[in-house]
Amino acid sequence: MNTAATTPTDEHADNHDHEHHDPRLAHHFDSHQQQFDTGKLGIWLFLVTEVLFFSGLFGFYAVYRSLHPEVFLYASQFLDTVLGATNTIVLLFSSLTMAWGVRCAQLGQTRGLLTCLVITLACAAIFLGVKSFEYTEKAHHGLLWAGMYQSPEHHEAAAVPVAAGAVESGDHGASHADDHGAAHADDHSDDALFEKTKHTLSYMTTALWAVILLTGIGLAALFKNPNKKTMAAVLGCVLISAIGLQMGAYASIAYHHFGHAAEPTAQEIEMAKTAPEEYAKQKEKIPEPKLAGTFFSVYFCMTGLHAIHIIGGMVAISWLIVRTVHGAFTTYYFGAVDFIGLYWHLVDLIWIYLFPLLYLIN
Amino acid sequence: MQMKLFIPNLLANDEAGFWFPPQGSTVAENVDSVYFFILYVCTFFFVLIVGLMVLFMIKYRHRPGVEAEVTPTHNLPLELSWSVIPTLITIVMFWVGFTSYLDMRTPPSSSYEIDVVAKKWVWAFKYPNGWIDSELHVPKGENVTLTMASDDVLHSLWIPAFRTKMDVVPGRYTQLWFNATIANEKGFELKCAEYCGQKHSVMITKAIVHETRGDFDKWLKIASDIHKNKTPVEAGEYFYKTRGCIQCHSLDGVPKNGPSFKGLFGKERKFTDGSSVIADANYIRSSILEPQSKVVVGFRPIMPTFKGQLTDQDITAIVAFIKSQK
Amino acid sequence: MATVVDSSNPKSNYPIQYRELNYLNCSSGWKSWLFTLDHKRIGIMYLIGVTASFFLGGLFAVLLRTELLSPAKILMGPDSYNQMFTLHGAIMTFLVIIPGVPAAIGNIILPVMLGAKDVAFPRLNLGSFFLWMFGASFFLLALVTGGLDTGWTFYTPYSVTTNTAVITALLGVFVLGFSSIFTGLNFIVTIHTMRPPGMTWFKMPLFLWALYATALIQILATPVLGITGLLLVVERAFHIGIFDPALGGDPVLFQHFFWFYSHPAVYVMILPAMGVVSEVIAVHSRKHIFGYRFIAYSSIAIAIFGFLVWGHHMFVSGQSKVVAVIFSAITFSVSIPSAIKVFNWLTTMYKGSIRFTTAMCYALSFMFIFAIGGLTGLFLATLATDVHLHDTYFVVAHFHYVMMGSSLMGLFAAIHHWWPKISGKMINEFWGRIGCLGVFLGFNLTFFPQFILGTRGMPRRYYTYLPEFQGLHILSTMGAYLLGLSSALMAIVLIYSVYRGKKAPANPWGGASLEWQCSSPPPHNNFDHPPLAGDPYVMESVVYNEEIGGFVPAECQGDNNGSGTAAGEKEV
Repeated sequence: MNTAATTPTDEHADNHDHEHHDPRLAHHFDSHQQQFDTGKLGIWLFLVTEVLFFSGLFGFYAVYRSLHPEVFLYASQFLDTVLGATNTIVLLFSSLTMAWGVRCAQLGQTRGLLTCLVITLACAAIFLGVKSFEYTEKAHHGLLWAGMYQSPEHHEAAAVPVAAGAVESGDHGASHADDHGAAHADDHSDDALFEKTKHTLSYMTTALWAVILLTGIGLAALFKNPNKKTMAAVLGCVLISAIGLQMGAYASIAYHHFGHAAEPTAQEIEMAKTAPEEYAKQKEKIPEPKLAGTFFSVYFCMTGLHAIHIIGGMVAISWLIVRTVHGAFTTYYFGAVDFIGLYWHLVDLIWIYLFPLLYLIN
Repeated sequence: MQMKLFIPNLLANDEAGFWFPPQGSTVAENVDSVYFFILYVCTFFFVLIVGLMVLFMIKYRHRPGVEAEVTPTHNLPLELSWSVIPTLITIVMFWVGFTSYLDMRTPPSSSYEIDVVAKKWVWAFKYPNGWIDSELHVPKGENVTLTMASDDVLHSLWIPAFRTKMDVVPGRYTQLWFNATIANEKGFELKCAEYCGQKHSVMITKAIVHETRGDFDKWLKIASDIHKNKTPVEAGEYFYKTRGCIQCHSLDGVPKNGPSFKGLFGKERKFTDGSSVIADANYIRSSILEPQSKVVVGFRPIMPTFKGQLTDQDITAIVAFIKSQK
Repeated sequence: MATVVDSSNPKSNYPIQYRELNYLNCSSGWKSWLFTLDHKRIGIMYLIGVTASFFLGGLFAVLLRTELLSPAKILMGPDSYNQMFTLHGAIMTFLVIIPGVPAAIGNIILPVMLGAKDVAFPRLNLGSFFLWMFGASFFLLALVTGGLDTGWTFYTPYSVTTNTAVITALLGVFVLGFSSIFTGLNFIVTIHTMRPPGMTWFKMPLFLWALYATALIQILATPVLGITGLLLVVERAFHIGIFDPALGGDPVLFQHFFWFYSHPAVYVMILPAMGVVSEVIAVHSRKHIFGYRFIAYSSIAIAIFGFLVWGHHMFVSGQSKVVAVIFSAITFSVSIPSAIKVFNWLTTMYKGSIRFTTAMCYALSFMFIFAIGGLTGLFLATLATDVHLHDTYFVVAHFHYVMMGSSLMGLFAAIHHWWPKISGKMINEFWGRIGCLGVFLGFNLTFFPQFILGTRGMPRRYYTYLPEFQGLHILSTMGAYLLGLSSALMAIVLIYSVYRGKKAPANPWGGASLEWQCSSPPPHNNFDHPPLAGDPYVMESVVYNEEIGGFVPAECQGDNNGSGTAAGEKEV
């Protein structure tokens, strides 16, 4: 014991005091198992705090929905269920690839791990691309939080001067395209707003093209240089994210343009002919409640915070990709992949709650 | 109440006790007895704890050659007893507090209603006859319910002598009731207890308790007879603000639901039936009493009549006020 | 008094008392401190930051009390007064008391007590400290850019409408919240996974139980404060209409969310102090702690009940009667675990050998002050009396007795108890005790009159007051001056000891827990070999050794000479 005092084990102070140790094992742990267990408990506790962080928002949601159910019923019709569902599928798929990636890491399959991580990252970016379209569209329709909210009723009234019978009326609310003649002239018509949305998004897409081009060139230049692995991996991550965002944005625009006409379906026309009253009732507009903006406050807070978590996850996954390129993970050291995977599943899970709570109220 | 026995008479003086302001309402005595009950229980436990502590400090202080004795490290019956006994005592405390609280918070079915509006940093008390005063006046021995609303931020109405308090919350109504037991023409303090900004500490007014309902009614009649206390223009302004004119008639020349009062007097008015008249005292009088008979071009016939709600003297004051809006 | 044993003497059987190379001097330069991963150095930095914040908040307090000497203006106008009490509250709560014991003392002591080399996540630990500094700088920024006048509670809609630096301060709170969460997370994981062989859950020192309970609250409650603060920022910046009644929001909802965190936060402040007192009383009475399990369970019980009582801050806020009644009932249940602890501490002293070291003096002051603070809580938990007492000086006095009096007495006791371990030096006990006496008297003189002010009708946060209250206000201000001077004396005594104090032995007080087994101050890695943990409260396992001037394991004593049978002619 006494000798220890005179042997200067403490001279190399900060953390490399046990040179003989495996560099993958931090100095204050006894074994890899202990290190892994510690990290696992840590990430679970972190996820608990994340859940509680969101639970504040879910609490607000519950309070306001129980106080003003009509607001939620009315306002959720402005959210596009198809886009929401697409995003749900994209995120679910990314969870699958993430889980697969963890499996690959455990088995030491570096190439498989890399592929899985790249797909996960791309899915996250697609999600954000779709979200950016949704946000832009909402902004142009004035469907913003309470302080900025503009009632859609007034541009709707302008867009559809006279409802020429039940079949032709713009009935899905302002977010749906209304291709019927009279609307075109008006500045507030859905088509005009869609054009504005596209215009705003074009800033983003142009910038993304530039990013794709530059990172592509950079990547090509670095590709065969083994000394610049980190740089190449980072550029690759940026490239993948940019492509994903681009895909998401273009897909939403295309969907809006082609797949999503307000033309009544054959079934609807049939119904309008045979049972006009019921059809009218079914198509009846919900009157706008007083606090409709509150719904969008909740919507933007919840999805916004979720989007921030997605971005955080993308940064973390990119970091994993860089580490993977360096071959950091082995069959006995894959904690980081596992932990970030858990985080990613949580972010996913939160979206799975958000989607029905916001989009599917009806 | 028998619990009054507990009140330390030594410390009390005539008007107020050592601890509390005078007991000015029916609930005050109850609240004070609960307070003193808890005070005595707490004093007992405090003396017990600190007494034992000091005793041990003296008796078992470190002395050379005397070691600490090894004693048992736990004793379940002992520990359970000091868990269970305090639990039982707190249940009693909860119960007495709970029952008195229910009395304080359940407004009686019949009571005199006064509306309160709090804003930075004044109180406004609106009596049933529409009179608005900055001081709270109530008759002794009668249930009074305050229905409170705030114009801006949180406030809290507190009358220490009545031992009652309630926050005034913007966007909702809160209620408070009491029954004053001591007449006090000088008034009890009425304070804002919830922080509300710069002049929070001077958002204080009086709660004046009149000896009988008759005295109170007399006060209200005199106070609300505004023609005595005010010039006609001031009185007119009061009606303008309190009787709803302000909702539809502006003073800045911009028409709202009705024409603005700015420069109205002496101007020619054109009506929907094609006739026209110079706006004089008679025209204004008839517009107040029979608003639908002549409607100015560009406005809808939506003004209600004020027949029976305003006296001739009131209308004269309003005319004087409109006349002054040049 | 013998000097410290020369540890280079290979014949000595004693454990090493002092090493030339310890965590304080094993590396130097500001980078070796600012970017250290050593939990002890991080703890020291916290301690310095907390102390600086304490004196800043204390300065505000003294200025406030000076202003209240008279109802008329003395130093400042109402606006400055409002800003000053807000910043006093915010700094003392978020920068001093919450990180005080857990982040500063806990960081230094917890791994050593566990016989571990470090906390589970050293980088995260450093990150917490950076977050703390970052959050603190937001507060300072708020201070210089327009101040803050909402009260530390940020009640809406006032906080939405005032034009002071609310957003800056809220971001500070948000960042500090995450600092606190990460510290808590680190402690829980450390306690779960890094206990040494032999230390089962019920052989942990009670300080660790207290830190564990604290950490539970930190990670479960703080995120809710984070999201609430964030939403208030968004409300102010974008007007989302969640808290602002002008846009259909509900201001009472903010209070619910705020107190859902801030009430448990009170236990973040008091639980670690209770843990400290459990250690100090046992060690300085030379007795096994009485009722170990009851104390440990009561910590957890307090942590759990703490989550269920937030509504007692809102008895007059307009929430429904039923809700108020439920919250009142649960609130009483929190008082039971606290009572259990106090009785257990008392019984621990029974038949002990009590030495009035400065640490013990602070622990005894804690018991006195906490008894008053805890018992006055009963008046506020009782519905009928709370209606009268809510938002008065009675509440101010009550929470200062609990949060300031008890938490800081706990912190001071901890500092003095572990000071030999932290700094390797002994303080001057005489001046230490004078400081303690001053703090104790000053504190009671400041806050006891405020109970009477409150029942007599003095609302809190009042810039001016009726003349009838002046006498009690003057008393209170005099107490505040004494308290301020005594705290300064305490700081001077501590700092003086660093330069001129005697070298401390490894175990100056005779503690049996693991931190007393390593030398003072500990080396960088705390222990050369993982120590074997036994019962941390068997005080007979160590005996006083005159040659060393401290306590050594009983078996070493026997080997050297048979002289040291009497436990201590030690002069303190």
